[in-house]
Amino acid sequence: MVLLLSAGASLIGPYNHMVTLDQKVESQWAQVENVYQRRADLIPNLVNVAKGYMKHEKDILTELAEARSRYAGAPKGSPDKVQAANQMESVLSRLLVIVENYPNLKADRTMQSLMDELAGTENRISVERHRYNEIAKDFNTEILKFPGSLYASIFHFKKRAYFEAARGAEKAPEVKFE
Amino acid sequence: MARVNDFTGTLSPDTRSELEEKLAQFERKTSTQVVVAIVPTLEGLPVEDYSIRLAEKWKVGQAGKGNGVILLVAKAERKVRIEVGYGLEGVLPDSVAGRIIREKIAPSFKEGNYDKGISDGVGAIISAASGAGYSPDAGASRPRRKKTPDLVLLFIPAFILAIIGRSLIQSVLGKAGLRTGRTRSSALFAGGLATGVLAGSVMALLLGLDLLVGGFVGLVCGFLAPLSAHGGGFYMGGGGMSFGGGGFYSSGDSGGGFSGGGGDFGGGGASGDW
Repeated sequence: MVLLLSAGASLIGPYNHMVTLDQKVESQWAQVENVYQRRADLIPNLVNVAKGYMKHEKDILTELAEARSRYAGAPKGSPDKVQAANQMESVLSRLLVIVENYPNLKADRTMQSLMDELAGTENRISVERHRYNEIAKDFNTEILKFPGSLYASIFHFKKRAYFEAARGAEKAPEVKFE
Repeated sequence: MARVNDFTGTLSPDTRSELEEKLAQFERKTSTQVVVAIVPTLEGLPVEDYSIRLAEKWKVGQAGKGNGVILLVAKAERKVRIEVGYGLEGVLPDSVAGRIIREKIAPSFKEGNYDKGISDGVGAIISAASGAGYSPDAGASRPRRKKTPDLVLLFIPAFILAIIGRSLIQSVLGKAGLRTGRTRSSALFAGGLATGVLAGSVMALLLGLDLLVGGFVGLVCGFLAPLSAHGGGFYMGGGGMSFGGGGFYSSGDSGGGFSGGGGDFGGGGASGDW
């Protein structure tokens, strides 16, 4: 009996550990979606302000607005959501290049603060993605090792995809201050 | 770790201790931790990456509140960043952080006035973080009223030290049998000046002031010491009391073992250059 119980306990422990890790990955993913949402929320204002200055570049603004509604329409956590987020990102970065040609737009107070918010949001996205990658790495390592691999095959834990390393995140040098 | 971490020797000791005191007081009042870091280089990292790593390492701000701010300045890359903790993103949004950099910090940095840029920047951060919002005129650096108190702090102990020194010389000369005569007065005069200069220099070192200033004030003290030398013993008694004052002042720039409270950062804030 005791033997059976302790055998049971030694099986449950690692399983719980896997579940905890899985939850962590999930909640960190939710963080990523939060900051994606933050970016999406900035777009209507951005389009409005830019419209007034960019008479000849309506196309990209329309494209941006469309990318946003596609993002808003995709169900949470779906591959479509991720795709829409990536599309939004690429349209936005093209827009920012075009904005460089409009000094009046760049000097606009509302535009400046939108650009600050946008830059801050892009940075938040990169921070949350980086954290997601770290946690996903822990999880993926766990399901490759024994006994995690066993549980993974029984309970269908799947390997998590990573974000591609951005902005020197792959180098990760030490910050040496106390 | 202190609240003001200047790894480049850019800030004047005055500004550093003033900011140190201001930030400590702000934390006592609101529990919000604001930390300044001036580094020589970002070691090849983008300023945002460097800054978030510093934030994760130092854990500025209180746990659960996320009320920490880091003002990071990188000299070689000429980059500034204000890193804002989760809990302050409402009162110190990215747009305000960006304006503080563009309107308060960068203009002074361009003129090479780092003291003013950082003081004004910290002033604006404190104003925003305390919920008072941001206006371009808020937190402008007040006219510097620090010089006078510093000189007074330097003068009084130096003067007392000079008097003590002079009376010591007097008693030594007395034991040597020299109670009158020209040798005695010139020895006393030279000795008085020397103790004055010595006392002034020591006080200048303690207060973080220029040695030349200390020496000069000490010289004046050495001159003036004979005027009040009649009651030497009396002054010696009073001397002990004012040393306490010196120690109290100099504790201002050590920062008194500051440590981060476990605050969280999510990459909010703004970056800029000059």
